[in-house]
Amino acid sequence: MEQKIIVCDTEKCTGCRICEYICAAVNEGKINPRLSRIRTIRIDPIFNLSMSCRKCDNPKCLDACARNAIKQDEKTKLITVDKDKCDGCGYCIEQCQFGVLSMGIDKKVALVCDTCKENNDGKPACVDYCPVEALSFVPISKIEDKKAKKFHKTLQEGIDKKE
Amino acid sequence: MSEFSKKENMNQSKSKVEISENSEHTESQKKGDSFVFKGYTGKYLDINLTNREIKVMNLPDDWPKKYIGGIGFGIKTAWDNIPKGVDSLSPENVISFWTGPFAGTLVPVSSKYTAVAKSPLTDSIGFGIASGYFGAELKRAGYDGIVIRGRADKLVYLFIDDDVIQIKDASHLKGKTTWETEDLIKKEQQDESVRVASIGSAGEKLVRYACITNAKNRHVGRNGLGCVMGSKNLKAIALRGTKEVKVADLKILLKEVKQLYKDCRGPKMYYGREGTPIKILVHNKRAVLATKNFRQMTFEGAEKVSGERMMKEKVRKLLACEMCAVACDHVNVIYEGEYKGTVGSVDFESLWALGPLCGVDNLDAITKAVELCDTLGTDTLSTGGVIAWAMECYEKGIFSKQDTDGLDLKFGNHRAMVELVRRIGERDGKFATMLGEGSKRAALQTGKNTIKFAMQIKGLETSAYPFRPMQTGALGHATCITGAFYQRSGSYQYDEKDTFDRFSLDDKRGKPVADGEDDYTLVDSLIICKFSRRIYTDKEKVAELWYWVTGEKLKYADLLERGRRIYTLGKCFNVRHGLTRKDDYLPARAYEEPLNDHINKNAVVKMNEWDIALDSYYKYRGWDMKTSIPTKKTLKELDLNDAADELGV
Repeated sequence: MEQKIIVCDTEKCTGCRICEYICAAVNEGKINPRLSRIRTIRIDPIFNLSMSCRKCDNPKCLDACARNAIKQDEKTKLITVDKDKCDGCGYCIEQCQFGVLSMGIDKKVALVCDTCKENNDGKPACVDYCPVEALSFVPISKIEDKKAKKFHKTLQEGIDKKE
Repeated sequence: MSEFSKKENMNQSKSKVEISENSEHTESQKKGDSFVFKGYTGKYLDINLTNREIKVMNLPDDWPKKYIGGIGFGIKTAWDNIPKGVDSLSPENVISFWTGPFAGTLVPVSSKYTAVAKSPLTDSIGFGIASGYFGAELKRAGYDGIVIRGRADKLVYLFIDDDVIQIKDASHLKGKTTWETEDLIKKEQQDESVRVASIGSAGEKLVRYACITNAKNRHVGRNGLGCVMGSKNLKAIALRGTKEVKVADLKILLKEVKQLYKDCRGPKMYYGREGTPIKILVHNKRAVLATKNFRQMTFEGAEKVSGERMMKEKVRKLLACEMCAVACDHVNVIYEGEYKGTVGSVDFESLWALGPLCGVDNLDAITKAVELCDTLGTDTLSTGGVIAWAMECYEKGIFSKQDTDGLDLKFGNHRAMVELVRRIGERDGKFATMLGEGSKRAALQTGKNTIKFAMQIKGLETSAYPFRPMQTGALGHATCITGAFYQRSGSYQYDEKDTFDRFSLDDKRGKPVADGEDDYTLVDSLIICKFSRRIYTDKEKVAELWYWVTGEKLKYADLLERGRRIYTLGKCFNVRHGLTRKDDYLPARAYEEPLNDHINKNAVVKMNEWDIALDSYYKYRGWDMKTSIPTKKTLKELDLNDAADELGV
C-alpha cells in the first residue's frame, strides 16, 4: 500500500483556519482550533500553509518518547499516541522538525494527525472541508507528478513566449 | 499554543509587575457554561482606564433575545452609558467591542467584531465592523465583549490572556504603525498566535476618521472609532484565547456547514475570485463611477485602474480571514517603479476613493495610499473623500499652494495624493491637520460655501454610490444612523437592479430602505460577513443556524424584529445627541448641480421628491414625520420603554 499524506498547495491556501476548526470538531468534539492536529502558518503578507504529520521514516517523535506512548504503523506509517501512557512531557513536540505535534489544552496529551482513521468515515476531514481545495490526501508520488507537470507547463510557456 | 509556553508567559508578566502596577488580575467567578444561550460566553469585561478597575460582568440573560449581539450589544451599551452632552473625545465616551453568537463557531465568515461609541466624526452613534482574527479569539478568551471607559494617564495597551487581564504600558509603541504594533506585541509576548487590534499615529493624534486595525488588513474603518481609542490613550488590545466555544448542536452544525463552505465558492461569489474592484468598469459603463469629487460619473482613466487590470498585474495573493471560505482579500504587491515594495489589500471602495474620486489613474499609487491608510490608521473612504474635497477647493482657487503646505493638489496628481495621505495620518503640517477633522468640519472652517461640495452626510464622507443617479441608494445613505454609508441598508442594490426609477424618488422608497436596514442590522449583530449573504438563498437557513448555535428555535422574521429594535435604539441615541430630520439631507451638490452625460440627463435630486421619500420612510418606521423622532407607540411596541419615556413623542 502506498503511503498517503496530507499536502497543501500554498498558492491556493488562504489561511482561513477552517481545517483547524474542523479537525478539532471532528476529532475532539470541540470547537477550538487550538486542539487541531493540523496547523496553519501565515507569513505576512502572502504566504500560507497548513501542515500536519508527514509520517516520517524513523520518526524523531517516536524516539523522543520515554513512555513508549507513541507508535508507528509499519504499513501506513501512521503515528498514534496512547492517551493513557502519554504524560504530556512534550519531548515529541520538541523533536518534531515540522512542528506538527501539539499539546492538548484540557488534558495534557500530545496530539498528532491520524488522518481521521476513526472519524469522518476514515477520510481526513480537513481535506473534505477545505473550501479552496488547497488540501489533498495523496501518495507522495502523485505530488511528484503534479510538480513535474507544473514545471513542464512553465517551461512550455517560456518557449511559446520566445517563439 | 501549548500549556508550557502559556505558563512561561504568565510568569514573565508577573516578573514585569512594575509595568502593570495598577492593573488588576481577575479570575472569572462563574463558569460561562451557565449562560442560557449557547454561542455566547455569557461574560464581558468592563474596564475603566482612569482608575484601572477591571470587572468581569455577566451578560444580561435577555440581551440575546432583544439585541442579538454585535452592533446590537454595542448600541445598547452606548444607549445605557453615554448620556446627552457627552463629548465624543472626552473620558465619558464609552467604546465597546462585541462579537456575536456566531464568532468562533463553525458558521462561515463569522470571525467578526464591532467597535461602537459616540462618533467623533458625526456626533451620532458610530460603529464599524471588522473581520480578521480578533473576534473569534475574543470569544475563545471567554468574553462576548469589552467595554472601555475613562482615559489612561499615559499610553497603554490591554492584554487579555484568557482569565488574566492586564493594562500594560505602551510608551514604547507610541507613534508606531498598526503593523509594527502588532508585530512588536507578538514579539513581546513571544507568541505568534496573539491577536492584536491597534491604532496608528492617526488614532493617537485624534484624526477624526482614524480606524482600528487587526491582522494588518482588516479594519473597523468608519466613524473614527480609532480616534475614540486614541482619546482614551489606548494603543491596542491584544488577545490570547484558548477556550472552547460551545454551541447547542455541534453534530448538525458540522454536517450543515460543509455545503455552506462550498456555497461560499459558488458562481455568484465573485468576491473571492475577480473581487469587488471589477465594479470600476461596471460603474463606469453605467455612468455611476463618481469621479473628481462627484462632478462627473465616468472616469477617463477607468481602464487603467480597473479590477481586471489590478487582478492581472498587481494582485499577488487572495487571503481569507478566520473561518472564511470566501477569501476576498486581494493583496497587491508592487515589485517595481517609484512605489516599489508597497503591500496593500485593495477593495473596490478603497480603490475608488483614492483613485477615480481624486482623479488618480495609477494603481501603484492607489496601493501605496491604501498601505499608508492601513499602517497610519485612517479610513480609506473618508481619507479619499476629504482629499477629493480639498482638490476641488484647490482647483477653484480657494486653496493656494501656500494653503496646502506646498502640495500641487490638482486632481489626478498621484504624488500629491499619496503625500497628503501620509501627512493626514501623521498630522504633519497645518493643512493636513485641518483635513484630519473631516470634510464637514474642514469645510465649515474654510467657509466660502465649500460645505456645498463636501460630499458627506452627518459628517461622514460618503461611499462609492453617487446620489443623483442612484436615488434609492441616496435615501439609504441619508437615513443611515452612522452617516453616509451604503452598508447599513444596501439600498443601492435597488438602483443596480433598476427595481425603481433610479433618477427620481417617490413615496414607495421608504419601505425597502427601512427593511434593508433591519436586515443589515441583523447581519451586523449576528455578526456574519455581508459577502456571505448570497449563500443564504433561503433566509430561514440563518434562523436554523441560530437554533443550532444558540439553542433557541425561531423564524427569520423574529430575528428581523430584533434588528428593527436595534436600529431604532440607534436612532434614539442620535435623537438624544441632537440629531433630527434636518440631518437626513444630502449635500447641496446633489440638489443643485444636475449631471449631464451620455446616460445622465439632467440628473438631480429634487427637493420636493426627497421630502416625500423621507416622509414615507419615517411613516413606515413609525417615527414623527416632522422631527424624525420615534413615537412612544413605536418604541413601546419594540419593548424600548426607557427610550419611550426619555424621547418618545
